[in-house]
Order: sequence, then C-alpha cells, then structure tokens
Amino acid sequence: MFLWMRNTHLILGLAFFFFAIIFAVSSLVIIYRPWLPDSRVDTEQTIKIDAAAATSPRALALELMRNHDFEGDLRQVSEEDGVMKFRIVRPGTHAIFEYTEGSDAVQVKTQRWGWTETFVQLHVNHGFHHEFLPASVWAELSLLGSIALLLFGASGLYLWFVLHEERLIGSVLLVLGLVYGLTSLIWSRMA
Amino acid sequence: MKKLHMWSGLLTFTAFVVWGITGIYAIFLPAPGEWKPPEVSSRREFSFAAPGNLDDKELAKRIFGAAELKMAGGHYNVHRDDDQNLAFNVFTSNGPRNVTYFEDKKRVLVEFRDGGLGGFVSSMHTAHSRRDDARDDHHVAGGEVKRCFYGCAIPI
Repeated sequence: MFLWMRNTHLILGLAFFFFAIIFAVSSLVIIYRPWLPDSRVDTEQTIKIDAAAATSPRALALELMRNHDFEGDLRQVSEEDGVMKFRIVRPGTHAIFEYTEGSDAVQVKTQRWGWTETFVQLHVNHGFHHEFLPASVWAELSLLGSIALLLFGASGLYLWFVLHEERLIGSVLLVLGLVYGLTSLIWSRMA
Repeated sequence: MKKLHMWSGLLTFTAFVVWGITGIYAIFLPAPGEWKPPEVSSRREFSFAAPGNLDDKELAKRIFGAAELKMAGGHYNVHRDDDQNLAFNVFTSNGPRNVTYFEDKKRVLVEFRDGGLGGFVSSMHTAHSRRDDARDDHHVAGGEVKRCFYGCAIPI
C-alpha cells in the first residue's frame, strides 16, 4: 500500500508539474497585475470576403476560420441593424470582427497578449462547451489536473500518516492549515 | 528537503482541496453568455441622499460605500436601467448583489443573490488582497465584463 501510494503521489506530481506551474504563475499575475506592464498588442486589418458567405455571423466566422487562418471559439455574437459583430478567441489571442451586411470586407481588430496573460486565460479556460479543439483538450486536462490535485493531497496525507515520528509536528501543521482555511471559509460564508 | 516538502504540503492541504474542488466545479460551468445569476434570495433598502454634482461612477462609488456589503470584492457594470435609475453590480464571494438607486425616493435597493456552495468555494479561491486594484486598473481595460466568477479580476 505504501509503495502504491508513494508511486501515485510521485507520478501525479511529475505528470502535472508544468500544469501546476502555469496555474501558480497565472495566479501571481492575477494578484499582481497592476504591477505588471500591459502586454496586449492590438492590430487592425480589413479582410476581403465573398459577401455570399456571410449569411449569418456563424457562417461568416466559419468562412474566416476555414480560409483566413483564424482559430478559436466563437463568442459574443450580435447582429443589429445589418451589422454583425463577433469574436474568435483562444487563450492569448482575441480577434474582434465587425461586418456590415452586403459588404465584401470584414474589419478585424486582433488583440494579442504576452505569455503571462496567456497563462491567465488558460487558467480560466474551462468547460465542455468549446468548439476549438485545443481549448477543449486543455479544459479536460484541467479537470484531470483538479482530480489529480485531490488525489495528490490524499496520497500525501497517507504518506505522512504512516511516518510515525512525524505525526506530532505534522498534526500541528495540518490542524493550523485546516483551522485557518475552514475558519476563513465558514466565516466568509456566514457573512 | 524531505521535511520541508512534507510540512509545506500539510500546511497547504486545505488550499489543495479548495483548488481541486474549484477546478472540478469550473469544468461544469455554463458557456460564456449562458450563465444566469442565482435567484434573488433577499432584499434590503436604505435611505441615501446623494450629494450634487456627482457623475454616475462617483455616485455608484458613494452608494457602494454606504451599502457596506460584506465580503464585497468591488462594484462594476455601473449603468442606468430602463427607468434611468443608477444601477450596478457588486461581487461578493456569497453571490452577486444588484444595487439600484431610486433618485426620486432617495432610496437604495440591494438585491442579494446568494449562490450555492460550489460557487462560493469557486469565489473564495479567487480571493486575494489586491482584487480592487486588479479590477480597476486592468480588468475593465482588458475585456468586457460578461460575468464574474473570478472576482472580476480576469478578462473573460
């Protein structure tokens, strides 16, 4: 049992190491964002399209994905007074489109972030709703990573518990963490 | 090194559990644009006389201060509703609060929308001491606020 738990702890730790680093770095970016330079770079362009392909925002988005190398999830779709607006987003890059019905050109503003902000966008890339395959794979990896985190903690707890000489100081640290964490959670919930 | 590994793991065990639960919870969240806020769980009204010559942003800030909402991570989406009343949303770890100021009656209405336990743990995992700074300086600049699972600290 000990060996099995030790191997589980080790394998999970190694398998999700870089994954954990991305989440740790992005958490720091979220907290200290005001101290960091804004890495976003915006570019604008006009793309010629066949107006017949723009029967709806989704049809136009698919045309842009197939023939103009835009990749990502379709988001924030709106259509009003003959103007279609939507975004094609993936972590680190958001393309914002505006198209007037009947026109043969689409206005595109592309926002690109540096690696730190891309990590943040990976951090919040969740859910089973993605049409963009890499985003979907990443979200599923996030689920596995979260389950692994719980197993990692549980196996670590077991490995500590079987070391009798570490039980006293370990118990103190565990209780300190639990009391601090649970008090914060319960206090906040009751507020 | 072995002891440091063990001790730090034990001390942060609760955080690992919270992050693990949050990660599992997050994967089942609805797609952007499909999220619906929790139902109104309670309401509170109080009197508020606004000083003159304030723009909406400043007025919202004063009302937000006067409302003294607990566990509030900041206010956002300041706007005028269909009846031209000043309205804004407040993020708290227990769920969003919708605040409306009825200028003619000099009354503020706060609608509490308490979320479930999963949403609460998810919100708590975003709690950090610089949330207000993060939101004010970068969040609004980084993207439109469509929903606020992450303490309004992240462009979504």
